[in-house]
Amino acid sequence: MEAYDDERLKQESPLLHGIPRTGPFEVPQGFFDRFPHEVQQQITARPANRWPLLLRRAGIALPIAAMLAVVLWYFTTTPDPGTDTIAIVDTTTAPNVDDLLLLDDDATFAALAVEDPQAALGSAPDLTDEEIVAYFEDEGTDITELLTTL
Amino acid sequence: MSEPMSDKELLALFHREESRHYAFNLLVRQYQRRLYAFIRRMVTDHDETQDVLQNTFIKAWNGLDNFRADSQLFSWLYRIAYNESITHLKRMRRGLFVSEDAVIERLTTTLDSSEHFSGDAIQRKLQTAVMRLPDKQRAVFNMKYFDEMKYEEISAVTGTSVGALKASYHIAVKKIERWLTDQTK
Repeated sequence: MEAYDDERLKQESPLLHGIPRTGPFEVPQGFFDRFPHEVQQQITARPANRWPLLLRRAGIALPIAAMLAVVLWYFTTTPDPGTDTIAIVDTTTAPNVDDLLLLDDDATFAALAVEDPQAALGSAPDLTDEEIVAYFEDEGTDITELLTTL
Repeated sequence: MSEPMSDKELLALFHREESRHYAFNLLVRQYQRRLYAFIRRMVTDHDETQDVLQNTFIKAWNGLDNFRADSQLFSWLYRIAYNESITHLKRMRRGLFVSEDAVIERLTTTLDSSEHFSGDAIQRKLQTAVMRLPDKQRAVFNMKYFDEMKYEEISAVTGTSVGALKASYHIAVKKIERWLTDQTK
């Protein structure tokens, strides 16, 4: 230990400084003679990986990159199954006069025409005279004037 | 015992196919004692130390082709041993499903019952105090106090800045001093 560190240790921890630094652990006899052979046995039992680290890393990284590329390609080229059946409607602008004129042609009205207008309106509600009078009174309609007009 | 080979000579031998195993055998012989001592102080038990040391050298064998000669071979081996020791202790905690105190208790019991502990009472107390430190702080303390490594060397092993290592070591010293003082009262 450097002299500076030793002096500092003496000041900071006199108790620790006073303990001899000999290794208290014992090793079984002959261990260091046997150990290198045991390591040799281990490394010959399992074949050494002779591929350089870069190639080993590339061997893992390249298949992963290829898989990611395929997944990315699939999602970017395959359309969403719902999008081709839904009409795109522009809701940001109100219809102008030209748009309304397009509707005002014979073909449009012909398509809307019905065979029996009365049937299309449905049957009239079955009301009693009293109910009709009460309705007109609620509405504030002058019955005499209505009859004159009709 | 013959003069130990330099890292450069060992690596040159290792990179030749015909002397690969011979070079590795020399490497193990050259570094096994220092690495054993470090691991033993971390895991306490001899058999567990042997397993961790064996894993360290097997990883070294698998990685030596990619070892860059810009760092010291011993620092590199020490780094593997350090990581293997920390991993072993974490695995032990997970396997035991117990608290930190229970792990310290187990390590202390191993120390007390070990037939391979030759230290006297005060050294036993010191080892018990060291075991109470968190794993990484214990590793730093052992490297500095017992292995007398420089902070720069410890930094190369642990990947921690020199400033942080100095702080960690001095906190560890304070903790140990306090514990030893309490025990001697």
